[in-house]
Amino acid sequence: MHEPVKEGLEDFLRENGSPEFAAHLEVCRECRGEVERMRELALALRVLRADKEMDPPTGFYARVAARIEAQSGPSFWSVFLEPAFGRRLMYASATLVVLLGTYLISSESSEPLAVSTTAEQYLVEENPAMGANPQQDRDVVLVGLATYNE
Amino acid sequence: MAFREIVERYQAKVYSIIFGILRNRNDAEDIAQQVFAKVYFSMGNFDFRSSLLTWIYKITVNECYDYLRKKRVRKLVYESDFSEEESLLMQNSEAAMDHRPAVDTQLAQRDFVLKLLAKVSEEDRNLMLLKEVEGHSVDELARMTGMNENTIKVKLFRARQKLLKAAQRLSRLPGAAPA
Repeated sequence: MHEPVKEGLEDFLRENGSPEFAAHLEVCRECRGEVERMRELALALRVLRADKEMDPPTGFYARVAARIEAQSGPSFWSVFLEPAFGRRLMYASATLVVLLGTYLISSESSEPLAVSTTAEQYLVEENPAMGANPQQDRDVVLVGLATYNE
Repeated sequence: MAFREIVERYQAKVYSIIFGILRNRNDAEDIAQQVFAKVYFSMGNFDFRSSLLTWIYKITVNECYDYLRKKRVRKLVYESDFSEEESLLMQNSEAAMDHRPAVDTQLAQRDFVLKLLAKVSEEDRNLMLLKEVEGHSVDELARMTGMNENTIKVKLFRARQKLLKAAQRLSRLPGAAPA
């Protein structure tokens, strides 16, 4: 197709185009044929045009909102509302409480031993003679307490 | 603009575009809902280079073609369930139907036009539909798409040429209605 036709085609298809365009079509058989086919094609496409603008049935927005809701992924918090997950969470929490309780009880009963062990070690270091005679050991501890200054 | 406002402003337009293409009210309602759901979920992708209507129009036409493609696949799957003899029988009866005068020439023409538009790119298809079906002028298209008028003219010209070539190829196939 020749340049003047390429440039003026849209105007021609809309409102018959310029006199130059028409003059070129008069003399150019090739362009005339192609322009005619393009005009037919443009008319054929109009079969897809709705006769008039139509509104969807009432309540359309509500249905769109429901579809959006259905297509939205579940939120993070909704996991906690699932019964199966909630039950598992409850069991896991109970197990954790039992484990923590056991640990605390066992660590509480062993702690005084550790303290006494440390106190014993301290007294032995301060008084190398300790441990030989229980009576003497008691006296050493009592003297230590009586002479203790903060 | 609230989403509800967008739906209320464009619902008639979207519904009419879909009905114009598919000519079925139930399908039009279903696809229109899907269009607005897509608009809602991909609002972040709208780049404001084109108008909101052009963007929604593009989604609408794509959804229609998606629906037509799925429908064709469903038909193929359905046909694949038949035995070889049954398929042959069906092909023969369809060929016989193709040679009888069209019961509804407008329906046949619509089918042909839809097949034709499926052969070109999404951009060409949307431009041609906006121009010929919606009746927008070149300068309106330039404003709607954010391109200049000359670019629109060139794109339209090329799209028309591609469609003509596709029409020639399709017309050679048996059962194709002329444009």
